[in-house]
Amino acid sequence: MSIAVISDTLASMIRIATPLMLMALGGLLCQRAGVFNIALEGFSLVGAFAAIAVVQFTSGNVYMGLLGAMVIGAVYSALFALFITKFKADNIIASIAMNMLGMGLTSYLLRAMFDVQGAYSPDKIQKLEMITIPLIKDIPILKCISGQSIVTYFAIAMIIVIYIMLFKTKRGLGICAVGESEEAAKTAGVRPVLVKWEVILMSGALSGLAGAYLSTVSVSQFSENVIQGRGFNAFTALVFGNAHPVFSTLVTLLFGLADAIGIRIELVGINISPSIIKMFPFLFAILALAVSSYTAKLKMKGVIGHKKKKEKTA
Amino acid sequence: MQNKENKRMLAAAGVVGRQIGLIIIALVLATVFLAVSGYEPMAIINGIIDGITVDIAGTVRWATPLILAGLAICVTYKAEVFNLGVDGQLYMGAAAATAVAVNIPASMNQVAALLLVFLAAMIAGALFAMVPAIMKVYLGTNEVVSTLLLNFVATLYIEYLVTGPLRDPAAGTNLNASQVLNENTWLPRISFFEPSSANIGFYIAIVVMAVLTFIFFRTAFGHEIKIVGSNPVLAKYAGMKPKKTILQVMAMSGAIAGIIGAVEVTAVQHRLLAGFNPDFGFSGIVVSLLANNNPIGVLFSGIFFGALQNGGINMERITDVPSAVTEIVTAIIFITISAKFVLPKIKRKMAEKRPASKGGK
Repeated sequence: MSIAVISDTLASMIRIATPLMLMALGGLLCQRAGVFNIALEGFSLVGAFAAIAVVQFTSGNVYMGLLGAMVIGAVYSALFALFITKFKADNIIASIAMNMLGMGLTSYLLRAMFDVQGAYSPDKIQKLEMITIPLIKDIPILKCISGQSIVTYFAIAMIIVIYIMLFKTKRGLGICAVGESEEAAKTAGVRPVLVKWEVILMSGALSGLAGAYLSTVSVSQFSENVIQGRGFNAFTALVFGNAHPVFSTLVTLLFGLADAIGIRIELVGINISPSIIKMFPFLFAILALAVSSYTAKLKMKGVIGHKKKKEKTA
Repeated sequence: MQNKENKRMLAAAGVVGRQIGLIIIALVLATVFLAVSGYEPMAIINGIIDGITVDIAGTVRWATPLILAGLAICVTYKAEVFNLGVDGQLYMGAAAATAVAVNIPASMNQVAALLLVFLAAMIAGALFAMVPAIMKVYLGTNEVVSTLLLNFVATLYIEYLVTGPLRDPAAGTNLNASQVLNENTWLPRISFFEPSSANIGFYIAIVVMAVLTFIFFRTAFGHEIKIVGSNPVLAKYAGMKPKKTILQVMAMSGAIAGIIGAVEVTAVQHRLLAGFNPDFGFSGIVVSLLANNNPIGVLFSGIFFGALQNGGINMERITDVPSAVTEIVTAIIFITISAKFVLPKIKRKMAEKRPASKGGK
């Protein structure tokens, strides 16, 4: 393999991992605050649709699309937050309901607003320009970081922001405290309900952006299966990464790599069915899940196990 | 004694009343939704009414897989295990059913052939359910995530089968499907409902329901499932083996899911089609929750959701109202049910807290 091929594969790895990163970052905030959020899938589906709808109504402005997706993603996630905090809904069931509602709403609105079924591409869409970074673009392998879209750089910035917020600020301490023990957090003056609203809305906005990336940057259309389990993959990544911003991001990069290698195999023309290649990220995620749960079992109960146990004894 | 019986009846009536309330809320919301987006507002309600009066056949056709899916969910739910992988397991069941059916000689006795096909589907479904079950029991993996991921693996595997090994060579380039099965492996349709594809899978669903009801309420194993679900520590002290119980309920759930796959292939499609499953597994969760995870209740809630699905499809055919609105109704019922869960807990907490503080709000 030549260096050009490697750096090409790495560049597509980053491109593929960008939406996963955004979703995992939102999801890990929820995880830290003790909200089991597998609704990332539904949030991003709504975001993907919102982006295309906004692009259509602003005659092709993709930046408005990205922004609109974040806002609408957050609004949609507010419903989840409402049920989790106000009505004390079961996290898992509410998440699945949100995913289902996302599927129903988007395919309904696809018919109601654009009168099409399955997929829709806006009349006009401006292509998001790729940003080249002056110095890095000349370094052989590292140049994969250059030439990405603004969303990728935003995701990288968010890793740093969330890392600092979680581990260096009082607010981050509050989030983790709510996840550890709501009662203790309450006595320390943190309001769990507020914290949960905050993290769920953030994950809604980030997932919305992830969906927008998939529908407006990766391809230029919304289709009903545009997310295709990426939300669940992102969730696996944050479980494997122990809800740590940096580790979880690294895991999403690994998932991206599995996908990128699959695409490369297809390009080279090795005779494997594309359906089998598309399975790679999922098989990889299941393996990651098994490894992480096993190591967590060996050490001590992980975030999820811990929480579940607590619920049962309560 | 009489008093106790009365109380139980009242409680049951209360549960049923509340569930009907949820359904009405969801339907009203959907009606508002339709009105706002400029469609005929009564479309969905008319669809359901037609589904239980004029077009019972279609309702039975859709109720069959939904009842079975609901049963598959309620088995595991009692043991506090979330099997979100019914979709994947039913795909694997369908794949095994097809693989066996295409290899059965056309001269074989129909009953024997069908038994073989269904057995294969049940085994395949159960084995595929064993993957997350073993991961949960021995590695401590959260089954919610693993079953969700395995659904995608199964879906892609079917895609691979119908574009590769099982592909019908005679099919056009646009159709990815296996060859049409021999008639001796077709599950008979109910002749009364001809020409609809309502089939005797409905009777199979009722038999499965009866078996589960018996297991839950009349056997030691059923009791064990409930104890393991409500208090695994106690179960262990009482000499039960929670791990074994979890494996058993997952196997049962997977086998029931396999039956759905076999019914869909042998009675409805008569061949394996990529993506034939409109998320029966997820709908099964609502079916089971709406029935309070009671197998007998699942029968009724399955019929309700069957009528809803059927009504949505008819509605789309007659008017231009998108059938996705049924998915919205299902999701609304889903999310409102999730809120119900903790109601007794909240009440208890409020009772405890009232004298001490003003509470968390």
